[in-house]
Amino acid sequence: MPFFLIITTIFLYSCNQNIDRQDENKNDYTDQQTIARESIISIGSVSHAIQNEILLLQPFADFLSENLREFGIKKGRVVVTRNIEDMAILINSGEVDIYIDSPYPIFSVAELANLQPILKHLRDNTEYYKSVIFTKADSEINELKDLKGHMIAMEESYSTSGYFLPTSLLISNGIELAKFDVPDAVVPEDKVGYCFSDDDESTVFWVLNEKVKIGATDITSYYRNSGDRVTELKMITSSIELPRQLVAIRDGFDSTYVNKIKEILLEMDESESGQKALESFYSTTKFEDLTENELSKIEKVFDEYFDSKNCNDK
Amino acid sequence: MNISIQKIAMTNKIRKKYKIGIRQRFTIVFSLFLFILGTANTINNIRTQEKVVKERLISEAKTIITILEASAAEYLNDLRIDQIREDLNFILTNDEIVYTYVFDKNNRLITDGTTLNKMRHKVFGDEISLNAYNSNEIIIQFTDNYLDVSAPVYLNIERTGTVRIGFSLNVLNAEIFKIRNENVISGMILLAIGIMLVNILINRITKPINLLTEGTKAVAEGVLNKKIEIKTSDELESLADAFNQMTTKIQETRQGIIKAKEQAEKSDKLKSEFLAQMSHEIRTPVNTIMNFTSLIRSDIEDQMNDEIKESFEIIDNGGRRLIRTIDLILNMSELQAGTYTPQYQQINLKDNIIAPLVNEFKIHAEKKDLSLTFSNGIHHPNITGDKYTLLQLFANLLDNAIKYTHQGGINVFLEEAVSNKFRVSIADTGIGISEKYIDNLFQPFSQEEQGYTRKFEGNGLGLALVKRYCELNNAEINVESEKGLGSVFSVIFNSR
Repeated sequence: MPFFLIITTIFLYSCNQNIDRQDENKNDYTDQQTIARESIISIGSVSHAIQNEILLLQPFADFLSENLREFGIKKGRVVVTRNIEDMAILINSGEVDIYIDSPYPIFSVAELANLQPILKHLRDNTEYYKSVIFTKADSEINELKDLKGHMIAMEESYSTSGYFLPTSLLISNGIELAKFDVPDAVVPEDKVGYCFSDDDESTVFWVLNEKVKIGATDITSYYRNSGDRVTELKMITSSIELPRQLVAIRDGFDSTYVNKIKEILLEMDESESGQKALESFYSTTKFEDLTENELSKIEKVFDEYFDSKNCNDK
Repeated sequence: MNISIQKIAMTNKIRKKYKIGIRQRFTIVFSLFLFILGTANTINNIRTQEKVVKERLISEAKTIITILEASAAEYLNDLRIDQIREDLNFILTNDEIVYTYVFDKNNRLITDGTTLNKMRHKVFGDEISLNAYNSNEIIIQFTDNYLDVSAPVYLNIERTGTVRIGFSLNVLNAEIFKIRNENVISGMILLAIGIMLVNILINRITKPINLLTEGTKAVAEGVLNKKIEIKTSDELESLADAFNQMTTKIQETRQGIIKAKEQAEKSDKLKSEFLAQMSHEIRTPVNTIMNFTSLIRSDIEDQMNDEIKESFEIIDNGGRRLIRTIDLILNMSELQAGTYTPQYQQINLKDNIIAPLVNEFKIHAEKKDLSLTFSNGIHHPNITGDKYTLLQLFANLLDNAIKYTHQGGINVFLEEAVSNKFRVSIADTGIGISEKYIDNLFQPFSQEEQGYTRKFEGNGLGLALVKRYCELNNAEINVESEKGLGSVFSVIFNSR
């Protein structure tokens, strides 16, 4: 009898082993320390993928803050907004110190806030880039004048390659543009319609799948996103070249501080920790100096664009 | 006592024969049983838990693919690649997911969630991809490293593409490994505990058995006052109680036997003392009668006629016969009472025993016109023996041979029997012994013919004493006889 009790006990015990294995990992929450604004350097970026953007930029912000200890900087912070207006507000309020983006958003924010481009940012190892306007290879559209009455897919309203460069190209060629919300809208015969795909990859897919006849994107995106199907496409024209990205700093900082930031960024690719921070930051290879000559050329392009835009708005 | 020793030896022999005892046998059998049960249970647990873990992963995969499918349907139709990418990126934050793919309706890869997607627009032609592409329902496929889950994407009733997610099996495998380890370890611990408990249980059984064995052994060795204390409140305790009752009974019986033996010995001693006393009382007056008769005879020797001489002869014979009978009774009494102390010494059978006796009995033989011869075939027939009893032994045999032989003679042989053994044979040509009487030949007070009609005088003690004398001298006696032809009594001694 006791033997069977023992066996039964052993059997029941082993059968009753709880197999409910809940994930015991607990999220760690780090208390935000209250640090004086003056002790923080804030890096701004405009993106819809806020969390992802913070993840990409945080190592860069940390690297910068670590190298600015002598100026009392204790922490690096990433601030992401969904549009340039919000970014301009944050720059003006002093919440964002450095804003990194492609030239059009930089100059658009600079129209609204006190911001000064200081360096070129070689994102994806690209110093300069341009936009292309393309269509299907078998399309009857071959040149700019054939675009009238058709819809162009562009990325978004603050994209340099996916909006600014193609529209400035078309405007400078005397083509009148009409904005539409949907790709299948009817475009007047005397105008070129445009709508936003919100994504360069989508722009290419729209053209390949004939959702729209024409697309505009940067040259890198054109080749990358069409892949093996690039033969199904043809380029109609291309824009002027602009720096891939710029680093801009808000006005009001001491020149020593600004020069130190420039120095840190320009030498960032020379240290191991700097390379590591750059690697996660859109595969940046390095920062390069923005010469006065380059800056004045870019400013001239934007001045003309904003002037013509203001004239059209009036 | 000899029987007890034999029993103990037998018990030990049996114990040695069975090298695996109950304890070992039970331990082995139950350990094997527990091992098999534990192994089966562990395997069953592992399988069940593995199944649960797999099913959980499959369920999780199904949930995620269903959400992705629902989310991607409209984006796929609108070719909002950024939105699909965002969904995929969100899914990819799950550590268990290693890849996500969205295909268009032509099975071309649209996105894997990255902007650097190098497989973009490619058609996947492997079996899993084709299965996924051709299926209208969720397909779950296990590969070596992944759990591949795919689902068709429908917008209304139109199929717009396929979504596919690869779950790493690393986490699952790690969890299965952990489950196996935990189960095996817990199984081993439980097995060890089980064996320990079985051992305790077996101890509860074998310990009382060992106690009973020790008790039985003690009884076999004659220790009857040993009590076995077993308090198990079961059959073993009852057995121990019964055993204790049995030893008590045996002890009581034994004491009774000892008492009876002591009483018998006391009675025997009294009998011997009585006999000795009685013999003395008879012998003394008989000796007196014989001495005075001898004196009277010598005084009137010259004046006696034949009739008177014969009368004196009868008186002398009767007296001698009476003294001889008393001597035999006394000797038998001493041997039975154990009061006779033999004095062993080196004896030459020929010179010290046989030859003098043959000479002595030759006179008696000649009186009956019988021949008495002695043949010796051994140079030095030396033995170790008690001279008095040896003389009595052969005197009795010779006396009997002459007494029961009426014609012919008696031949005595001393020869070697087998190696290191001597044989003394006394062969006569007498009346012989019937076959049915031979078995009782050496019983005290027995004679072939009983009652007043018997032809030969005697008390039936002679051959009984011969047998006892042989035993005292470590000799063996055999009889061969045929009625009417004669008898041969052979006594076999060990040399030295």
